[in-house]
Amino acid sequence: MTESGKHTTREPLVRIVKRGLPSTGRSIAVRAGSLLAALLICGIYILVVGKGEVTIGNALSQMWNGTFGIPGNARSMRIMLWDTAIYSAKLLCISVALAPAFKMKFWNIGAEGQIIMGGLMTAILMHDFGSGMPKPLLIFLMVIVCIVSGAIWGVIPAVFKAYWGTNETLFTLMMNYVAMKIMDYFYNMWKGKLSALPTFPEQTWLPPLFDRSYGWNIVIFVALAVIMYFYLKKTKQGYEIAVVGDSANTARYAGINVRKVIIRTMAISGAICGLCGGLTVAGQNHNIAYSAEAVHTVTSGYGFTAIIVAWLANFNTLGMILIAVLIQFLEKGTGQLGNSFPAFAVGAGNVMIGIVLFCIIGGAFFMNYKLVFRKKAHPKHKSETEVRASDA
Amino acid sequence: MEQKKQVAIEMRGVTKAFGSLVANKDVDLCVYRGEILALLGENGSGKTTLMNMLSGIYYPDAGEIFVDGKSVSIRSPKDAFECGIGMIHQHFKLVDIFSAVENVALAMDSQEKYNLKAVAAKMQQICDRYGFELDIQQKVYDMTVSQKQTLEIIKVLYRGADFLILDEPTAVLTPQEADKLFQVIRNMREDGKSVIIITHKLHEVLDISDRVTILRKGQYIGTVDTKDATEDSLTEMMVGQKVELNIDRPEPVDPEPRLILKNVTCKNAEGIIVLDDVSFTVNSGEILGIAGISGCGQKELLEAIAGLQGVEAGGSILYYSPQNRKTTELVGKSPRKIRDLGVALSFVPEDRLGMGLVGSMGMTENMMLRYYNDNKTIFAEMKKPRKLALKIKEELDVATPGIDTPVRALSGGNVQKVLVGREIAASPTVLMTAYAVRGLDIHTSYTIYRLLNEQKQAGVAVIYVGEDLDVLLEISDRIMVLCGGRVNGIVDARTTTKSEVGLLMTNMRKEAQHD
Repeated sequence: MTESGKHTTREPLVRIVKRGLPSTGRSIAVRAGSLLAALLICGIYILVVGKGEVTIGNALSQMWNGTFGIPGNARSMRIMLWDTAIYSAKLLCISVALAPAFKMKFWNIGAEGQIIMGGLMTAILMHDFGSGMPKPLLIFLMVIVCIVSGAIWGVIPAVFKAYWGTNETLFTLMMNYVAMKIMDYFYNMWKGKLSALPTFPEQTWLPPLFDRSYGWNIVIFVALAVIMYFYLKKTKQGYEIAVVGDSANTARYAGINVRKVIIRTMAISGAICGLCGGLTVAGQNHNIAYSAEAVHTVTSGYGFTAIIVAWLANFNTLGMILIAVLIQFLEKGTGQLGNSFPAFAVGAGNVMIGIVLFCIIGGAFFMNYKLVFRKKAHPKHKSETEVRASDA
Repeated sequence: MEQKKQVAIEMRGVTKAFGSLVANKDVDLCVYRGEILALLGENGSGKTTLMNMLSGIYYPDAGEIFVDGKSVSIRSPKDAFECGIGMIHQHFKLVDIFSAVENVALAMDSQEKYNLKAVAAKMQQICDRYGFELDIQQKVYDMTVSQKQTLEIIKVLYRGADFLILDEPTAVLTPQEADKLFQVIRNMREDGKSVIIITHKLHEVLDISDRVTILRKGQYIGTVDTKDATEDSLTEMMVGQKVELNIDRPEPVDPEPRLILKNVTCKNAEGIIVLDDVSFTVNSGEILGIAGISGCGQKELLEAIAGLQGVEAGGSILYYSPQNRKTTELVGKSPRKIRDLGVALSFVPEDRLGMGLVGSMGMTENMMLRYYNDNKTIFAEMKKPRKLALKIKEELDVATPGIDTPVRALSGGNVQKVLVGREIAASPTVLMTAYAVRGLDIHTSYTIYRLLNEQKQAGVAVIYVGEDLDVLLEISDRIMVLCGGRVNGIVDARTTTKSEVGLLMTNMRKEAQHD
């Protein structure tokens, strides 16, 4: 009885209550509110870290210049725009690769590894067989090899998930490190005593388009986004992916072979990652490298960034185009900001990306829930309680 | 004797709703010190929800709870413990790789010193006092279900609970283990503890409890002294008086077998037999009602027919096609294979949004579940589903902003119209429905009854798994009663009585037990 004596009769201060389905109005309001909050916090961050010496307008124009070039300066604009284009396209491609897996609620965070395997196998072709082969055959082989190796890297965790219910998140993550070490092995072997691995011979590069060896990459990456959009929206397989993602039970009920869908979808996801790796090595980097410092690595670390893009775009591959450019703006823009203002030299990009993500993803909570605060105690209710207590 | 009857816990006017579903409405409950109270009701009558409010899992929307006469607010399981309330849930909450004593030590206060020896000694004391049999050093993963349950009870007692709530404790026990448990519970009563047992088994109620509180459909029906109660009187309170519903029941025309099940036995994922040697026939042009407390094999039965549940060797489910009288064995075939063989089977599963439909998709895409594969291109078939969606929306009067609104956003009745509409549109030979009117309003329920009767008159063999006995008695031609995974009788729905079916549901017939 002493135990119950500790007790108050108060309701909890805040309770979380589920809302009905989000209406269009509410979802727009929540998104707008989240973005506004993000901008506000970013603004405060710039003012505080810049110690008031950097105005928000100043910071924004620096970020613009760093992404799209200095307005009026043709050379700067050309360089910056192409650079932004290829990196956005690459980020887009990997996000597109994740879309079918994520739509199926298979959390493939192994894009890094799948890209590396595709890139590495292409590099082996370029390094060891490139000189003795007619170019069309070489390119054909490179494309096949990178797609297949990426697909294999994606299918391994899928098979384990489909048959033994393993956790795909951990599995795909660990596969990344295996792939990195395999690539390190080849890198060091090829490098030998040199300080760095020289680029592969030019005759093994992809043919240029728009005067750039990565021209085809941009075209293919963007085309993939469009194709994936229709694949997910219109085809039987795309439909099966959506059903499995929403409810495996419903899929079984409808006669869908859930295991087959999981494995097939991860083959596609891995294949696109592999293709991205292969094209990056053959068309853009002409080299392999994977280390934390190197900017021009096979993956650029986008295997992880793409997860964010895919989520922010709600797995809509056309929407990802916009998000990929936005991420580039934050990444490259803050790089420029750091160059101009030492206060933002390190990590400003990550901080701002973090703020935007936190607000947008955290804001989604209010789509489905609301908070109910404790109301003031009803006087009547209270008196009843007291009467009761004195009775006892 | 009378003065010993001191009120321990009292709930007054407690209400809890989940969205539009009212799980408990204005429920009163009272437990005295040193008594065993049975909380009786069918599945879905709100027993567990009510107890979860005592144990701090849920917070009531309205109403008051008193412990020892003081109004309390139980916001978390921790609060519940401070009030001396401990609940043993159906699903145990134990750390598998820990030993019994380590699991109990987890429940210690943060101020208490971590001393396994002391904990073990105190546990042993509890065991001796109430007659528990448990090896205190045994790892949980080595324990039987019964031992785990014992450990859960000891854990609660260790924390000093005076009021114990057991949620269907015998569901997982053999009869011998149940007897042992009951002895322990009686010992606890002698010691002045109050015990609430949630159950729907009448003989247990009569066997162990002092008083019974009955809930029906979330509402408080009444409390009686067990010594004044009989199985019949309790059944009546539990299932209610017969209500005239005036559902049409046309006579079956030329019934002939459509499905013949023989010796069908199914095991669930844990390897426990959930459907035990079931044999029966489903005829065209009739509605076969299936009654039973939920969890008695209804789900597995329908899923076995649909190809979603494996059947043990020796079982057979034969399908008789009405067109060419060809027979098809359904056991061992996948749902896709069954369809490809031309078996016209429709299935309205219990879990509408988790199995029958895709909640995040609109009506059109949900129609596609059946038809997306009906063309030879790589593109999903959309035209036919779209037309069907429009037709169902029109004919069944589905209230939805549009056929592309996610069906999750629709009310329960409209969700069911979408599902039933799709399944009937496939012109089935056999139509299986599980709890087709659960949670629906009267109007929609009657729409569903009408649709089922239309199917029956068109010569379809309809299986109607239901929980409302009044409806089952009025709509079915025959009623098969399942009890503990076995067929406990097939009765003529036109001549049987509610109490006959109710007793078949709760009591295994002697003959059935022995054959």
